[in-house]
Amino acid sequence: MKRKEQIEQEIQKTMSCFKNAKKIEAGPFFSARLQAKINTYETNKNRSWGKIFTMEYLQPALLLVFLLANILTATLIIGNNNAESLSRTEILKKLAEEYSFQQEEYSLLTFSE
Amino acid sequence: MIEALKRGDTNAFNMLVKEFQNKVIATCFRFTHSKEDAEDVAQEVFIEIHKSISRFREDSSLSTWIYRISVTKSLDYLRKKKRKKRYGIVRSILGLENDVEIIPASSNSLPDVRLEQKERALVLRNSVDALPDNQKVAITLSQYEGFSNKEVADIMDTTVSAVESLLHRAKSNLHKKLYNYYENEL
Repeated sequence: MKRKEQIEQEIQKTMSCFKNAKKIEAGPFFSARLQAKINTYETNKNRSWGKIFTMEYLQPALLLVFLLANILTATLIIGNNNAESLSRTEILKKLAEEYSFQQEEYSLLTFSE
Repeated sequence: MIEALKRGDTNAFNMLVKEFQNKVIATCFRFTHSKEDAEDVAQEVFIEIHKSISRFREDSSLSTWIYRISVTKSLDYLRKKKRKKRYGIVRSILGLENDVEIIPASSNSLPDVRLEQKERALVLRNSVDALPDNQKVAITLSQYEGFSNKEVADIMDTTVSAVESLLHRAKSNLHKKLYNYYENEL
């Protein structure tokens, strides 16, 4: 029982810390920093490009356009790579045929005693 | 003053900032636990006020609206911080987080008493942090900031009875957490 009372006493002491909480005040440059941020916001708001990016209903549309453009570009690049590799393979085959590297035609290299 | 703010009067806005900056920073500090972060969030609050004042419907008082934005921005900060925390283990290992609330020393208190108060404040703060958002907001506004139940209800855009219920549950949860803590400590 005594232990329970002891715990309750600790809880009450801890809960009283609400009243002793630190008072916080703004730093000396708070207003200046805020004014700078607001000036930047106002400047961007007035620019035409800035206007586009701050129009909330256009932001998802622009994001979608950029994503589609990236997907299209990636598809084209991958497609080109495949086309190039095929042509490389074909080139190698032609070279092999031209220089007779296929085994059946090693007549010069085989000899019999 | 509201009309002047809606007209974009710079002097009126500066007066508003001067009047409310400490109160907004103090409210934000209860959630961020860092003075630097509290100032950053407070700046976002005033920028939001600047952007949205023309849409302020005056269905509540200006101060209620300002505190409501402060609480919303503070909760947004906490959600962002939780997402960053998943990748921020290194920062905490390097001690780059500044989570300690410093209790000012009273001129006639002994060092060990101050340390004890600091530890208690930290235990209380961690227990409040572990509450669900709505209970945390209610208890912070009521106990740390000293708002009446009616003022808390206005800020949270709810009824007085809802706030009373939230405070009751918050205090009950705090009591349970503190009981478990001291049961293990003592």
